[in-house]
Amino acid sequence: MDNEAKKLLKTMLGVDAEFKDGQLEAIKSALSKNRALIVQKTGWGKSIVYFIATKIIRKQGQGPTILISPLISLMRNQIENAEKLGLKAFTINSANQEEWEDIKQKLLSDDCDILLLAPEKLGNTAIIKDIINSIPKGIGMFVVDEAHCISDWGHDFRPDYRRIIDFLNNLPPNVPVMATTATANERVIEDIANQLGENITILKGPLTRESLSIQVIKLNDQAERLAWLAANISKFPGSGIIYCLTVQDCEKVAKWLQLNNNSVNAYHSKLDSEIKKDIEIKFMNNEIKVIVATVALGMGYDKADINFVIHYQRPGSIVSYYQQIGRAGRKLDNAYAILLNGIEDDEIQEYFIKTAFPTQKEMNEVVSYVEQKTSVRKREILKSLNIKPSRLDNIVKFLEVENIITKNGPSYSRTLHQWRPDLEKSKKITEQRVAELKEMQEYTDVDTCYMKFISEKLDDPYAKDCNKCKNCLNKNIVSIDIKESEIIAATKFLKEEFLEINPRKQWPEGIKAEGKKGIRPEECNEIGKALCSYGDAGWGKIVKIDKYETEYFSDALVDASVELIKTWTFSEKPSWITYVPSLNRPTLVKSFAYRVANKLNLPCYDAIDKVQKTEQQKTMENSIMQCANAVKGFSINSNCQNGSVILIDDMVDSKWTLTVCGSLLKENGANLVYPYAIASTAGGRGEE
Amino acid sequence: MNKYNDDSYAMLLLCSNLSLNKKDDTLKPLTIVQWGKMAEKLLDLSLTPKNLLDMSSVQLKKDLSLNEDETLRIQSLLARSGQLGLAITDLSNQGINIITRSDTDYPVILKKKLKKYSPAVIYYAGNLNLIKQKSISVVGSRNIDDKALDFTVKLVKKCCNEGFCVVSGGARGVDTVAENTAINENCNAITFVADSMSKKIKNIDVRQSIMNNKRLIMSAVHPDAGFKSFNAMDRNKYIYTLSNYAIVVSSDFNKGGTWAGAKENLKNNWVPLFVRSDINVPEGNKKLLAEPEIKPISTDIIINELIKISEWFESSNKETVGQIPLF
Ligand SMILES: [Zn+2]
Repeated sequence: MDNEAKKLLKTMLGVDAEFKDGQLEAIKSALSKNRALIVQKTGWGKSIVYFIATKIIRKQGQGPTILISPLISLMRNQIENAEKLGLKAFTINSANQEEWEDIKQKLLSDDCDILLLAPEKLGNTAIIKDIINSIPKGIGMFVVDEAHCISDWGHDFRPDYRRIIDFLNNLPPNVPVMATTATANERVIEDIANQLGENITILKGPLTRESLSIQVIKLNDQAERLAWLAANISKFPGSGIIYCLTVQDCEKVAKWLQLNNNSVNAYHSKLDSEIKKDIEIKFMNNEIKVIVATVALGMGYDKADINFVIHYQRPGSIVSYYQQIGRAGRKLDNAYAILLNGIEDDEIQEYFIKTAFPTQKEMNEVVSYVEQKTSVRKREILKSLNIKPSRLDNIVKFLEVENIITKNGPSYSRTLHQWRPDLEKSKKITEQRVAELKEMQEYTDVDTCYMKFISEKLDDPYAKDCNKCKNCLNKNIVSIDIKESEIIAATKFLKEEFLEINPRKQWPEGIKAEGKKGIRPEECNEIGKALCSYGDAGWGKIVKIDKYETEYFSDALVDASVELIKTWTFSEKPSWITYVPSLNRPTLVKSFAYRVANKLNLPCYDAIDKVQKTEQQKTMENSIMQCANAVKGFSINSNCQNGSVILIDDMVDSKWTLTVCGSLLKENGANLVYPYAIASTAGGRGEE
Repeated sequence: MNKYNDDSYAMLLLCSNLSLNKKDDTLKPLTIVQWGKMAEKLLDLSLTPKNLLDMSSVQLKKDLSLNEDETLRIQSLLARSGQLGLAITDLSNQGINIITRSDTDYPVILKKKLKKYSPAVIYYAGNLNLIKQKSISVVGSRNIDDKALDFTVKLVKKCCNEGFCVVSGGARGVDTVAENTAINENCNAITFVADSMSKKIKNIDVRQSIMNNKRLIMSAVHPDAGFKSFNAMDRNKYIYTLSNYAIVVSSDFNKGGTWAGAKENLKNNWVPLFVRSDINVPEGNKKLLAEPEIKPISTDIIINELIKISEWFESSNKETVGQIPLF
């Protein structure tokens, strides 16, 4: 068996190839039908292990390996690698439905060696019954890649990985199982091992990455970081990744660097999979110098010659930080890991922690609602419960993997399992997250070896000084100087980052008709603009202070708004201005609108009445509730003019207030309606 | 950690269609008769089903004296472990559990009475302990008149009052009335269905009574299986044998499941059988009542508050127990 494995290794990787420590052991474990958890640093070569094991198992006349992988990008990578080694690999995922039938035929004719699946596919009865059940020789081996996603103590916890646990607990003993991970501390490893079952062997190697040079740079605000990036990014050799915490920041940083003539692309979960794929390929071929990414460019993205990883903000834990810097320098002697860090990082992280878990109350509400029906669709739940759709998605996913509800087509039903939420556990995990954040804060302040600090926090017994980091060398690896002129340019850039308000296209259920109904052109707003993102550096901070502290929008905001409106290309020039009135703060927006109108030399009219006090719009969590609430609140008076109008509000989030007021204005004679908001709070923080 | 023992896994691989693809597979699980033969061979060799998982094709041929085709079939079935794991997970997510004849939880009464014809695999949802209660089975045709309906309701209420669990087949007509009356009386019900178990347990009333430990749903066929009349015939056996007494509310003569089931019970002497004997009962009832072993039961008896039904049932109840299968 050893010889066969060695022979395969040499055929696959060349005559000089030798097994690294632990590889042969892992292969043997699979061939003896055992279950193993393999903990090895990135670059150790875990895929060669399960590829060789698969080859041998297939030669013995057994069925293909099923490989569970969390991301489509990762699957693409693995399929390429497998094919290079002469294995027939296919994937069934949500993006390639048109290929499923072909793949099924391949499986039926025993013409597939590895089938890659996303974990949620294990819960897809149709795929299991129709496709997996047609594999004539059964499943030869079961591999779980990125196994740390199983642990909800870990930062990459994916609810769908719970399905793997359920499955392994039901899997007969004559199928070998291999779970692999590169990044985990003792707590996570222990948790994974416990969940995978008592008969699992842990195979673990050292974690230190020898090629990385680490430096932490503290900077005050976003403007300073942007300025630092602009001044330094071109000095780095080769290609690299800049990690941001939110989609918004990702877009912003990419745009800024593009303006500064860098070949840069943003990469995050909101992009089309085609676009992502394109960026991955270009980056792989070094046609792009920098990818500005969220964690969406994550686990296992395998480019061996990444020269640097820069963090625009501080990640939430040592584990995810280690994982991200681990992308750099896989096959290089030297690579850089630079952490930029400043005040607002904690605010974002704390927000992530706070919103990580659905609350008890929300989950109870959903369970008791579903319990009263034989089956129910998501939109029925949204109609009755004041819950954000994205939040409901989370809750439903959580309840699904906990087997409290089950999905049949578009409907959900309650299962027979008792609903006993583990409150203690979610509390403990939140505490753990806070503790990890504190560790990360500590990390930015240490004056000893950065790599050693990381290794120790990951319980690596081989931890030692790296002799390469800023603290070991006691001097800067990269410059920390920023030019004043660049800070000014960055500040200006941040202030000019206005946003577009795309009009709503559809009335939700129960507003104009029982079902959804299209918003007709004669009701619909034009594309609007918002000056900034609420709370952001640039104008966002000023809006926040003006609204809640001084309760008066300052002239600086008026001037910035006037400047923005002057650059606007209208299809019909507005002839008047109105605003969204409020009973709570009657003068706040009104005064702002009159001052803007004055500077634009346009008349401002009080055309909209607030007819009754309604719930604050920001407490309404989904479209149905938001729109119904807005409809209740407003009517139009005789001040409404003909001609086109700019409709001003201070904040825009769901856009329902602007949509409802706009349609009322048009109904009462206004021609085109251009919404304008001082700040957008939409999309929260765009977390990944 | 694993929920099932290795003997059960082997039986599920061989005797259920859980890991097969109905559309594309030519592979079929062993029938109960085929399994019976296999079980005998294993017993002779002092082996249990789990030993099959490790046997090579040479061993299968030699030790179990299987021919080439049989060996290939057994090996192909046993290779579907991965698929079995997925299928069990899917069921278990819905709240459906499985027992095989090699499990200690398997209803021993079925083995006692049906011997090698007891189902190799049973799917269930709900409180399995209900099978330990004293129980009556209530059977009858799908289309019933008001009198039969009234009789069923009164009978079930009276039995519920005395702590009987009600066993029925989940079909339209008598079955459903009996089942629902029992649940409405806050009494326990066992429903042995012949099809569509997955669908049944999603119904809100069924679900709630299961979660309140009041109801047990069982099936000897895949929970997603549709209606097949031969499955319904087999199912009658299980209803009779799970109960202490069986009551036929209304039966056609010489046709239909109720008639066939009653005759089968007579032949095998599973449980004491009572047949409704009111005036204007269907032809089948009259013919059954002509049999000496069958006792009449009429509305008069049920509505007589002085009669305790458990004592009334206490008549000839002679069971004979022979050799029972281990798996
Ligand atoms: Zn160091």
